Amino acid sequence: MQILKRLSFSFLFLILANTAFSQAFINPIIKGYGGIIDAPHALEKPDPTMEYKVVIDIATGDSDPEAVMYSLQNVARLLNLHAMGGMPANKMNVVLAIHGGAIWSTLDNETYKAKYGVDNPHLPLFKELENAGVRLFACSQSLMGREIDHAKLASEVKVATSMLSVMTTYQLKGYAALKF
Amino acid sequence: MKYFLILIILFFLNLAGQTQEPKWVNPIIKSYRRILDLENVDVKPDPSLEYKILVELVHDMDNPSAPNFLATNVVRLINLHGVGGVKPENLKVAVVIHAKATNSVVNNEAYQERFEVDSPYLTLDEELSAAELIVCRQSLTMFGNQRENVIPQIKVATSALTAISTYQLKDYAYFKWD
Repeated sequence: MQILKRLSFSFLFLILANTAFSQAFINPIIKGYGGIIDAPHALEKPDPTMEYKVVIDIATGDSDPEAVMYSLQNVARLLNLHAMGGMPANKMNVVLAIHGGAIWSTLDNETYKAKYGVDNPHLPLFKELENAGVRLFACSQSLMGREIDHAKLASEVKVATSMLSVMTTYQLKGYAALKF
Repeated sequence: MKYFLILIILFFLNLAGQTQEPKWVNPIIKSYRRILDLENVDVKPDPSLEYKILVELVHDMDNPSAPNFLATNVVRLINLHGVGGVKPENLKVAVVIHAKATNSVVNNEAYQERFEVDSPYLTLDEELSAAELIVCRQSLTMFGNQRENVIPQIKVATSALTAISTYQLKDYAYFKWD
Protein backbone atom coordinates (compact mmCIF):
# COMPACT_ATOMS: atom_id res chain seq x y z
CA MET A 1 0.00 0.00 0.00
CA GLN A 2 2.85 2.32 0.97
CA ILE A 3 4.50 1.61 -2.35
CA LEU A 4 1.29 2.37 -4.21
CA LYS A 5 0.99 5.66 -2.39
CA ARG A 6 4.56 6.58 -3.24
CA LEU A 7 4.06 5.55 -6.81
CA SER A 8 0.96 7.67 -7.17
CA PHE A 9 2.85 10.65 -5.74
CA SER A 10 5.61 10.12 -8.27
CA PHE A 11 3.08 9.99 -11.06
CA LEU A 12 1.34 13.09 -9.80
CA PHE A 13 4.69 14.86 -9.79
CA LEU A 14 5.44 13.64 -13.31
CA ILE A 15 2.07 14.84 -14.57
CA LEU A 16 2.56 18.27 -12.98
CA ALA A 17 6.09 18.57 -14.34
CA ASN A 18 4.88 17.52 -17.76
CA THR A 19 2.10 20.10 -17.72
CA ALA A 20 4.49 22.84 -16.68
CA PHE A 21 6.97 22.07 -19.45
CA SER A 22 4.58 21.19 -22.23
CA GLN A 23 3.76 23.98 -24.64
CA ALA A 24 0.53 25.88 -24.15
CA PHE A 25 -2.21 25.41 -26.73
CA ILE A 26 -3.81 28.43 -28.36
CA ASN A 27 -7.20 28.89 -30.06
CA PRO A 28 -7.15 32.07 -32.16
CA ILE A 29 -10.48 31.51 -34.01
CA ILE A 30 -12.42 28.49 -32.76
CA LYS A 31 -12.27 28.87 -29.02
CA GLY A 32 -13.75 25.63 -27.77
CA TYR A 33 -11.98 23.14 -30.06
CA GLY A 34 -8.81 22.45 -32.03
CA GLY A 35 -6.12 23.92 -29.78
CA ILE A 36 -2.74 24.24 -31.47
CA ILE A 37 0.84 25.04 -30.53
CA ASP A 38 2.06 28.56 -31.29
CA ALA A 39 4.94 28.57 -33.78
CA PRO A 40 6.16 32.17 -34.23
CA HIS A 41 9.51 30.91 -35.58
CA ALA A 42 8.00 28.93 -38.49
CA LEU A 43 9.36 30.15 -41.82
CA GLU A 44 6.96 28.40 -44.18
CA LYS A 45 3.68 30.17 -43.44
CA PRO A 46 0.30 30.76 -45.08
CA ASP A 47 0.33 33.66 -47.54
CA PRO A 48 -1.92 36.42 -46.11
CA THR A 49 -2.10 38.18 -49.50
CA MET A 50 -4.14 35.29 -50.91
CA GLU A 51 -7.77 34.38 -50.45
CA TYR A 52 -7.87 30.88 -48.91
CA LYS A 53 -10.45 28.49 -50.30
CA VAL A 54 -10.49 25.00 -48.81
CA VAL A 55 -12.98 22.15 -49.31
CA ILE A 56 -12.77 19.23 -46.90
CA ASP A 57 -14.09 15.69 -47.36
CA ILE A 58 -15.23 14.77 -43.83
CA ALA A 59 -15.55 10.99 -43.88
CA THR A 60 -14.29 9.62 -40.58
CA GLY A 61 -16.73 8.99 -37.75
CA ASP A 62 -16.10 7.98 -34.15
CA SER A 63 -17.40 4.98 -32.20
CA ASP A 64 -18.00 7.07 -29.05
CA PRO A 65 -21.24 9.10 -29.44
CA GLU A 66 -20.22 11.38 -26.56
CA ALA A 67 -17.00 12.46 -28.28
CA VAL A 68 -16.64 15.10 -30.97
CA MET A 69 -15.34 13.29 -34.06
CA TYR A 70 -11.65 14.03 -34.64
CA SER A 71 -12.31 14.72 -38.32
CA LEU A 72 -14.51 17.66 -37.25
CA GLN A 73 -12.17 18.83 -34.48
CA ASN A 74 -9.50 18.93 -37.18
CA VAL A 75 -11.53 21.61 -39.00
CA ALA A 76 -11.19 23.78 -35.89
CA ARG A 77 -7.46 23.04 -35.92
CA LEU A 78 -7.26 24.03 -39.59
CA LEU A 79 -8.88 27.42 -38.90
CA ASN A 80 -6.76 28.03 -35.80
CA LEU A 81 -3.56 27.03 -37.61
CA HIS A 82 -4.18 29.37 -40.53
CA ALA A 83 -4.95 32.22 -38.11
CA MET A 84 -1.84 31.48 -36.06
CA GLY A 85 0.18 31.49 -39.29
CA GLY A 86 -1.07 35.00 -40.06
CA MET A 87 -4.21 34.50 -42.18
CA PRO A 88 -6.96 37.06 -41.52
CA ALA A 89 -10.18 35.24 -40.58
CA ASN A 90 -12.17 37.01 -43.30
CA LYS A 91 -9.95 35.53 -46.03
CA MET A 92 -10.69 31.96 -45.01
CA ASN A 93 -13.41 30.24 -47.06
CA VAL A 94 -13.94 26.72 -45.79
CA VAL A 95 -16.52 24.25 -47.08
CA LEU A 96 -17.23 20.85 -45.51
CA ALA A 97 -18.69 17.84 -47.32
CA ILE A 98 -19.83 15.59 -44.47
CA HIS A 99 -20.67 11.99 -45.39
CA GLY A 100 -20.07 8.32 -44.59
CA GLY A 101 -19.55 7.54 -40.92
CA ALA A 102 -19.24 11.24 -40.10
CA ILE A 103 -22.85 11.88 -41.20
CA TRP A 104 -24.20 10.98 -37.74
CA SER A 105 -22.72 14.20 -36.35
CA THR A 106 -25.22 16.23 -38.38
CA LEU A 107 -28.39 15.06 -36.56
CA ASP A 108 -30.34 17.63 -34.55
CA ASN A 109 -30.19 17.14 -30.81
CA GLU A 110 -33.55 15.41 -30.47
CA THR A 111 -32.76 12.85 -33.18
CA TYR A 112 -29.22 12.31 -31.88
CA LYS A 113 -30.52 11.77 -28.36
CA ALA A 114 -33.16 9.32 -29.57
CA LYS A 115 -30.48 7.32 -31.35
CA TYR A 116 -27.59 7.48 -28.87
CA GLY A 117 -29.15 8.51 -25.55
CA VAL A 118 -26.82 11.52 -25.19
CA ASP A 119 -26.79 15.12 -26.40
CA ASN A 120 -25.12 15.72 -29.75
CA PRO A 121 -21.63 16.93 -28.72
CA HIS A 122 -21.01 18.43 -32.18
CA LEU A 123 -23.62 21.18 -31.92
CA PRO A 124 -21.45 23.77 -30.04
CA LEU A 125 -18.63 23.13 -32.55
CA PHE A 126 -21.01 23.55 -35.52
CA LYS A 127 -22.20 26.86 -34.04
CA GLU A 128 -18.60 28.10 -33.72
CA LEU A 129 -17.74 26.91 -37.23
CA GLU A 130 -20.80 28.67 -38.69
CA ASN A 131 -19.88 31.88 -36.86
CA ALA A 132 -16.41 31.62 -38.41
CA GLY A 133 -17.98 31.44 -41.88
CA VAL A 134 -17.57 27.72 -42.50
CA ARG A 135 -20.26 26.20 -44.74
CA LEU A 136 -21.37 22.73 -43.65
CA PHE A 137 -22.93 20.38 -46.19
CA ALA A 138 -24.28 16.89 -45.60
CA CYS A 139 -24.31 14.39 -48.47
CA SER A 140 -27.93 13.56 -49.41
CA GLN A 141 -26.91 10.07 -50.44
CA SER A 142 -25.34 9.34 -47.05
CA LEU A 143 -28.47 10.68 -45.32
CA MET A 144 -30.93 8.67 -47.40
CA GLY A 145 -28.76 5.56 -47.29
CA ARG A 146 -29.06 5.65 -43.49
CA GLU A 147 -32.72 6.72 -43.50
CA ILE A 148 -31.92 10.01 -41.81
CA ASP A 149 -34.68 12.63 -42.20
CA HIS A 150 -33.17 15.68 -43.94
CA ALA A 151 -35.54 17.89 -41.94
CA LYS A 152 -34.01 16.69 -38.67
CA LEU A 153 -30.48 18.03 -39.06
CA ALA A 154 -28.52 20.56 -37.01
CA SER A 155 -29.52 24.05 -38.17
CA GLU A 156 -25.96 24.84 -39.36
CA VAL A 157 -25.96 21.91 -41.81
CA LYS A 158 -27.37 22.18 -45.34
CA VAL A 159 -28.01 19.23 -47.64
CA ALA A 160 -25.88 18.83 -50.78
CA THR A 161 -26.54 16.58 -53.77
CA SER A 162 -23.57 14.51 -52.69
CA MET A 163 -20.11 14.66 -51.17
CA LEU A 164 -18.60 13.79 -54.56
CA SER A 165 -20.33 16.66 -56.35
CA VAL A 166 -19.30 19.13 -53.62
CA MET A 167 -15.67 17.96 -53.92
CA THR A 168 -15.61 18.26 -57.73
CA THR A 169 -17.50 21.57 -57.87
CA TYR A 170 -15.43 23.37 -55.29
CA GLN A 171 -12.10 22.07 -56.59
CA LEU A 172 -13.06 23.34 -60.04
CA LYS A 173 -13.80 26.69 -58.38
CA GLY A 174 -10.21 26.82 -57.15
CA TYR A 175 -10.61 25.31 -53.67
CA ALA A 176 -7.74 23.29 -52.16
CA ALA A 177 -9.00 19.80 -51.22
CA LEU A 178 -8.33 17.90 -48.01
CA LYS A 179 -9.71 14.66 -46.64
CA PHE A 180 -10.15 14.18 -42.90
CA MET B 1 3.97 -20.79 -97.64
CA LYS B 2 4.93 -17.16 -98.11
CA TYR B 3 2.55 -16.09 -95.36
CA PHE B 4 3.85 -18.83 -93.10
CA LEU B 5 7.42 -17.57 -93.54
CA ILE B 6 6.35 -14.02 -92.79
CA LEU B 7 4.59 -15.23 -89.66
CA ILE B 8 7.69 -17.14 -88.56
CA ILE B 9 9.86 -14.05 -89.08
CA LEU B 10 7.39 -11.87 -87.19
CA PHE B 11 7.34 -14.39 -84.37
CA PHE B 12 11.12 -14.27 -83.98
CA LEU B 13 11.21 -10.49 -84.20
CA ASN B 14 8.59 -10.42 -81.50
CA LEU B 15 10.63 -12.80 -79.33
CA ALA B 16 13.75 -10.68 -79.82
CA GLY B 17 11.79 -7.62 -78.75
CA GLN B 18 10.61 -9.31 -75.60
CA THR B 19 13.96 -10.67 -74.51
CA GLN B 20 15.57 -7.22 -74.65
CA GLU B 21 16.96 -6.31 -71.24
CA PRO B 22 14.72 -3.82 -69.45
CA LYS B 23 16.33 -0.40 -69.52
CA TRP B 24 16.59 1.12 -66.04
CA VAL B 25 17.39 4.80 -65.70
CA ASN B 26 17.86 7.58 -63.11
CA PRO B 27 17.51 10.77 -65.15
CA ILE B 28 17.49 13.37 -62.34
CA ILE B 29 18.29 11.83 -58.96
CA LYS B 30 21.09 9.34 -59.30
CA SER B 31 20.78 7.11 -56.26
CA TYR B 32 17.62 5.37 -55.13
CA ARG B 33 14.69 4.01 -57.04
CA ARG B 34 15.63 3.51 -60.70
CA ILE B 35 12.78 3.47 -63.16
CA LEU B 36 12.03 1.78 -66.45
CA ASP B 37 12.59 3.77 -69.60
CA LEU B 38 9.81 2.63 -71.90
CA GLU B 39 9.44 3.81 -75.45
CA ASN B 40 5.94 2.85 -76.46
CA VAL B 41 3.82 5.02 -74.23
CA ASP B 42 0.94 7.21 -75.32
CA VAL B 43 0.40 9.45 -72.32
CA LYS B 44 3.48 11.32 -71.14
CA PRO B 45 4.14 14.41 -69.06
CA ASP B 46 3.93 17.61 -71.11
CA PRO B 47 7.43 19.16 -71.25
CA SER B 48 5.95 22.53 -72.21
CA LEU B 49 4.32 22.79 -68.76
CA GLU B 50 5.87 23.85 -65.49
CA TYR B 51 5.20 20.98 -63.09
CA LYS B 52 4.33 21.90 -59.51
CA ILE B 53 3.72 18.91 -57.28
CA LEU B 54 2.92 18.67 -53.58
CA VAL B 55 3.45 15.38 -51.73
CA GLU B 56 2.17 14.73 -48.21
CA LEU B 57 4.26 12.16 -46.32
CA VAL B 58 2.86 10.52 -43.17
CA HIS B 59 4.73 7.21 -43.36
CA ASP B 60 5.63 5.12 -40.32
CA MET B 61 9.17 4.59 -39.01
CA ASP B 62 8.75 0.86 -38.33
CA ASN B 63 12.07 0.00 -39.98
CA PRO B 64 14.32 2.88 -38.93
CA SER B 65 17.49 1.58 -40.59
CA ALA B 66 16.11 1.98 -44.12
CA PRO B 67 14.28 4.96 -45.59
CA ASN B 68 10.56 4.31 -45.88
CA PHE B 69 9.36 3.29 -49.33
CA LEU B 70 7.12 6.35 -49.56
CA ALA B 71 9.99 8.74 -48.80
CA THR B 72 12.07 7.21 -51.60
CA ASN B 73 9.01 7.33 -53.83
CA VAL B 74 9.58 11.10 -54.04
CA VAL B 75 12.77 10.21 -55.95
CA ARG B 76 10.72 8.02 -58.27
CA LEU B 77 8.23 10.80 -58.84
CA ILE B 78 11.04 13.16 -59.86
CA ASN B 79 12.79 10.63 -62.07
CA LEU B 80 9.54 9.58 -63.73
CA HIS B 81 8.85 13.15 -64.73
CA GLY B 82 12.46 13.37 -65.91
CA VAL B 83 12.21 10.31 -68.10
CA GLY B 84 8.89 11.63 -69.41
CA GLY B 85 10.69 14.67 -70.76
CA VAL B 86 10.19 17.31 -68.06
CA LYS B 87 13.35 19.36 -67.53
CA PRO B 88 14.57 19.60 -63.93
CA GLU B 89 14.17 23.39 -64.00
CA ASN B 90 10.48 22.95 -64.88
CA LEU B 91 9.84 20.53 -62.03
CA LYS B 92 9.01 21.99 -58.63
CA VAL B 93 8.33 19.46 -55.91
CA ALA B 94 7.29 20.32 -52.36
CA VAL B 95 7.17 17.56 -49.74
CA VAL B 96 5.20 18.10 -46.55
CA ILE B 97 6.32 15.74 -43.78
CA HIS B 98 4.22 15.24 -40.66
CA ALA B 99 2.62 12.75 -38.25
CA LYS B 100 4.83 9.67 -37.75
CA ALA B 101 7.13 10.65 -40.62
CA THR B 102 8.25 13.68 -38.59
CA ASN B 103 10.92 11.63 -36.84
CA SER B 104 12.78 11.29 -40.16
CA VAL B 105 13.86 14.96 -40.34
CA VAL B 106 16.27 15.15 -37.41
CA ASN B 107 20.07 15.04 -37.40
CA ASN B 108 21.98 11.83 -36.85
CA GLU B 109 22.52 12.29 -33.11
CA ALA B 110 18.82 12.81 -32.41
CA TYR B 111 17.93 9.95 -34.74
CA GLN B 112 20.37 7.59 -33.03
CA GLU B 113 19.03 8.55 -29.66
CA ARG B 114 15.53 7.57 -30.69
CA PHE B 115 16.16 4.59 -32.98
CA GLU B 116 19.70 3.42 -32.07
CA VAL B 117 20.76 3.35 -35.72
CA ASP B 118 22.22 5.90 -38.14
CA SER B 119 19.63 7.91 -40.00
CA PRO B 120 19.15 6.59 -43.54
CA TYR B 121 17.27 9.77 -44.39
CA LEU B 122 20.31 12.09 -44.39
CA THR B 123 21.66 10.91 -47.74
CA LEU B 124 18.16 10.70 -49.16
CA ASP B 125 17.41 14.29 -48.17
CA GLU B 126 20.71 15.41 -49.66
CA GLU B 127 19.76 13.76 -52.95
CA LEU B 128 16.42 15.50 -52.74
CA SER B 129 18.01 18.94 -52.61
CA ALA B 130 16.04 19.84 -55.75
CA ALA B 131 12.81 19.45 -53.80
CA GLU B 132 11.46 21.67 -51.08
CA LEU B 133 11.27 19.59 -47.90
CA ILE B 134 8.90 20.94 -45.28
CA VAL B 135 8.11 19.64 -41.79
CA CYS B 136 5.06 20.47 -39.69
CA ARG B 137 5.88 22.47 -36.56
CA GLN B 138 2.90 20.98 -34.74
CA SER B 139 4.10 17.43 -35.35
CA LEU B 140 7.68 18.28 -34.35
CA THR B 141 6.48 19.17 -30.87
CA MET B 142 3.90 16.38 -30.66
CA PHE B 143 6.58 13.80 -31.46
CA GLY B 144 9.05 15.28 -28.98
CA ASN B 145 11.58 16.74 -31.42
CA GLN B 146 13.61 19.89 -30.84
CA ARG B 147 13.58 22.60 -33.50
CA GLU B 148 17.40 22.82 -33.41
CA ASN B 149 17.77 19.12 -34.24
CA VAL B 150 16.04 19.49 -37.60
CA ILE B 151 18.53 19.07 -40.46
CA PRO B 152 19.25 22.23 -42.47
CA GLN B 153 17.63 21.04 -45.75
CA ILE B 154 14.26 20.96 -44.04
CA LYS B 155 12.02 24.02 -43.72
CA VAL B 156 9.74 24.32 -40.72
CA ALA B 157 6.12 25.20 -41.50
CA THR B 158 3.39 26.59 -39.27
CA SER B 159 1.68 23.26 -39.81
CA ALA B 160 1.10 20.56 -42.42
CA LEU B 161 -2.49 21.70 -42.95
CA THR B 162 -1.48 25.29 -43.73
CA ALA B 163 1.33 24.21 -46.06
CA ILE B 164 -1.02 21.83 -47.91
CA SER B 165 -3.72 24.45 -48.37
CA THR B 166 -1.16 27.11 -49.41
CA TYR B 167 0.63 24.99 -52.01
CA GLN B 168 -2.63 23.73 -53.52
CA LEU B 169 -3.84 27.31 -53.84
CA LYS B 170 -0.53 28.09 -55.55
CA ASP B 171 -1.51 25.48 -58.15
CA TYR B 172 0.53 22.53 -56.94
CA ALA B 173 -0.95 19.14 -57.86
CA TYR B 174 -1.47 17.25 -54.61
CA PHE B 175 -0.62 13.67 -53.66
CA LYS B 176 -1.13 12.10 -50.27
CA TRP B 177 0.85 8.90 -49.90
CA ASP B 178 -0.27 6.69 -47.04
